[in-house]
Amino acid sequence: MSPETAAAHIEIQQVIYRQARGVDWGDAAMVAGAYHPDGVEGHGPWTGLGRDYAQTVAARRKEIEAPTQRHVTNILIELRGDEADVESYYIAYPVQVTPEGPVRLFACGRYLDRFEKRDGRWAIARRLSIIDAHRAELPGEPWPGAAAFPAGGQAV
Amino acid sequence: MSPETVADHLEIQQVLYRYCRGVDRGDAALIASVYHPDGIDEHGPWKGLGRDFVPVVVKHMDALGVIGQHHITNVLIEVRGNEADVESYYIAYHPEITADGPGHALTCGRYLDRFEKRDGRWAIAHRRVVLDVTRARVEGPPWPGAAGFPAGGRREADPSAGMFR
Repeated sequence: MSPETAAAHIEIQQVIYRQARGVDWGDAAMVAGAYHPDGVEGHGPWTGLGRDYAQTVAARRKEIEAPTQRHVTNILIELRGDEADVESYYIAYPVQVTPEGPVRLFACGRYLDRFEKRDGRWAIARRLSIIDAHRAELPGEPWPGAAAFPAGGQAV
Repeated sequence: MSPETVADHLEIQQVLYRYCRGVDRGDAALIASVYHPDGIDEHGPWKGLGRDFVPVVVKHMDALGVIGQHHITNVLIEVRGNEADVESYYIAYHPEITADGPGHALTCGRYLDRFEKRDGRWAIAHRRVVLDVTRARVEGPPWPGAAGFPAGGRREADPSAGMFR
């Protein structure tokens, strides 16, 4: 692997992690920065520009008090010059607002991304979010020891 | 990104992984190696020098007799010369003994680290542990098929003993 290809791998990984942090933190600008201006997000029932998705997801985040997390694990990258096919596995603990109150879900899936490098910057040209395994609720009670640790927050 | 910055990213990632291996395997020297001598760990109820945290965590986890896992997932790194802000997501199957017996808590959170490169070595100058999603107990019986696999252990009792020397 050439130094240039190694750099592309690291840069693409960091874009994926920033997008996840942006969603968990409710930071629209951070999410939007992961996409090209015409980059598309296919998110289940929602498909549209990544930049519009950023606004939608950040607004939805503010409806939920509890921290959320999406963990990105395997990141498979196939580079072809200034384009790359990228498949990223994730494990997510989102929260859904229901009439009975907020419920912690569990979902495992993949982001199928087409990355493009434009003006020296790698960003998402198209993302399709896939769900492979899921549960309507992450069962059990919170760990009592958690009280001694700071909990995650969100953008103000 | 320059080859030097790529190397910084990979070196920092390896430090994060070494911490996890050190805690899961009970390797005191390996855990100590991830902190600078004056590196601080704010680890929930425990705050102090990272190196002083080492015997505490090794002794605590040795006494449990249960093997757990710390998985590092997203590692967001911002390098500024010889300093770096690093946010690492983790998923831990944390060994616990409760009234129900030995088992695992599920603790998911983030390590908020300030890394510094001193004398050519990246290590933790300051760590703060955040918890985002937890469950007191991972429910359900063990999988019977696991009996056919080697189990993890602490130090010499682990199949990986002798590696990474």
